[in-house]
Amino acid sequence: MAESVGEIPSGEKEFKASTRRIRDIVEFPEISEDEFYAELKKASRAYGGSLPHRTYSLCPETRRVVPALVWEKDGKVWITKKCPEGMITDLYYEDVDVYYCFSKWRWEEKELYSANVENSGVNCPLDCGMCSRHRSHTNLLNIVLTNRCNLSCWYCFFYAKEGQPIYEPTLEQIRQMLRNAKKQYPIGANAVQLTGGEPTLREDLIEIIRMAHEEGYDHVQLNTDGIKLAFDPDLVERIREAGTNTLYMSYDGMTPQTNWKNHWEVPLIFENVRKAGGPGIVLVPTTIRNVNDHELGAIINFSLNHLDIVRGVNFQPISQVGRVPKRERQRFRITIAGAIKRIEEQTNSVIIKEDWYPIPIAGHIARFFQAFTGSKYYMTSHFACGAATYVFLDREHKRVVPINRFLDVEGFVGYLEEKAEEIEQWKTIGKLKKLKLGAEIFMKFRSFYDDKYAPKGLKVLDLIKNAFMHGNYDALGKFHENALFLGMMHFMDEYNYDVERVERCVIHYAMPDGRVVPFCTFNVIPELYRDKVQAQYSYTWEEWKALHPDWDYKKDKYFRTKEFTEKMRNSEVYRKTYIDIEDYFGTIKTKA
Amino acid sequence: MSVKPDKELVRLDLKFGNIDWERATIKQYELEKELAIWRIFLNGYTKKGFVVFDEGLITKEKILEALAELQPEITAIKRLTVGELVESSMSWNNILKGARAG
Repeated sequence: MAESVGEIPSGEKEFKASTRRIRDIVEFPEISEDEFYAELKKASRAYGGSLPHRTYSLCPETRRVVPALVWEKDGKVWITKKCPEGMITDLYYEDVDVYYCFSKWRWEEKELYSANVENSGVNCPLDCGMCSRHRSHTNLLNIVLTNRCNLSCWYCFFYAKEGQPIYEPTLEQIRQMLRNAKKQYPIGANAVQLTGGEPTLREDLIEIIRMAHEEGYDHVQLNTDGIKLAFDPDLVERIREAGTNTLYMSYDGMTPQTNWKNHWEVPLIFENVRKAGGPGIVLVPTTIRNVNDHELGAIINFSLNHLDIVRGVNFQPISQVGRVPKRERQRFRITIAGAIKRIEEQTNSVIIKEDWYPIPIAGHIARFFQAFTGSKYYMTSHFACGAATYVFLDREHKRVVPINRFLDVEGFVGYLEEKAEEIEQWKTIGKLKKLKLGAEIFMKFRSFYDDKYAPKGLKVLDLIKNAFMHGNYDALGKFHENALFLGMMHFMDEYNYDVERVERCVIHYAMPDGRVVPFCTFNVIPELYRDKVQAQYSYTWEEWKALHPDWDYKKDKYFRTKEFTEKMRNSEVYRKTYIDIEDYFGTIKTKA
Repeated sequence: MSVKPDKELVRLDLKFGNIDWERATIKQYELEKELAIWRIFLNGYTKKGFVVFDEGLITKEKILEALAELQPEITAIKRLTVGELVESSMSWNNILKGARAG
């Protein structure tokens, strides 16, 4: 089988081998220009309006901002736009029911009242920065620490190849970027993701992690391939001590083919994290139809087997950035609704589509907490951008229980909103009133909770009592014990680009020129944002070498030897990680 | 070398005699791609705009030439440094008027 062994992993061979057989193709429906304009005329315009819905998109070829139609056909949701070179259609959501169900939880309020550019946003997404039109504050700030990388992924145009300019912001620039997002008004960023390239290649990484905490960030996560962490237990210890909360780690599948980046190294990474006592790991599978979409259930099962260190799985349906022929898009396109369906199939219907909630449901919960405690944090992305749920492991009965089997999530969130409305009418909320209200909420919570179906050992009622009656929210952290967070975040590309999603984006990149840019403009229009600004702030190869005389490009790179994979294949730690594991869903076909 | 904060830039404030939203976005994209352009905003509705650029890489004349079909007229020229541009972008300097109470 094709494998990245005896070389710097690039994934090219594995991708070719795994795409030789096509299991299914998404047939895009045809729509004529006349039909398109007729539909556009009658389409809804307000955010979250029923289908057909009018929005704006980007022409993949000319980059013009063009009108687009989000519409339904055969139970699926499509996006079609009229570009100068013709009509372009792509899949928006595989399931219209999921689309409408998520739309119900949309958040319409604007939560950001500061800007970083004078542009008004009328030319969105060409005005980014943040502009005054942007509606959501930064929930997760990304800072690119370097474009150096230890892998050489065949599809990546971003990492610095030999001889190419190197982008690596100074500590002073990083501090400024952190401050800029922290001072957004009225709600500053609180979580930062240090990303790359490969951020562990920076020698001053520990200093940067500490700096993020100094600047008031509560959550620091490291977006990494984990390779360095496999071979340097001391580094794992140091990044944990410095305050890294989460390793946001690439993990694309269960075999060396589907997960060519770090399949062989993962057992060592896990061992090192266990020894260091953290940080918690979130696995990040980039999800691609016909490539690894048959392994989503197995990835969840794998994570449940390592629940002592794995806190979550965040599936990222592929973003097909760049010019991609229609045939290829039909082969590889999968959306959140499609991934949810796969998970339902691959977990024997243990995790079903009704178990998932869109990200902006958090906005409705945040409203209550703002009224009740004064704390402000609004995760108010577009309803189509992401989804999440929690599943709990009942170890005694070896069963997996999604949260809404024992908690009426929708009912409880609805109740919290009612309470928020009530509190908002009050002029003040004194201690006694708060205690009384806390007790009332706790009593009411019992009616949304069913102990019979809750996993054993999970003392939900105690946690809720502590939170609402005694203001002890730290206790809610215990909720994560025996729980696995499951998330999805579908970053866009030129073909499914929806400007309405961009203006509500909550995952942003800081740039050293003072701008803060939504993820899907930073990466989808790199010639205006990512690549351009990094070119302005890069060092030429010669400048970099002069500044770092001991640096050697080849030493940055990871060379996976045949001896290493053989040693791993026969090791106890490999067996413990991949083979001697429980099958919680009774469906696993793929074993390493 | 990575940009120094004292690097000098030029800002042109403009008004346009012949512009609409579509042509404004097309022109903004064309110019915005250039490494020499640090900031640009062409508003097809108010018929105003501005360009902040590195005079060492592109001249004022070249910019006006690129915008010619929009019939640009310079209303102000200002010099600023990269450091000043970055500082002026910071969130604390740009709280929106009429912002909702925090």
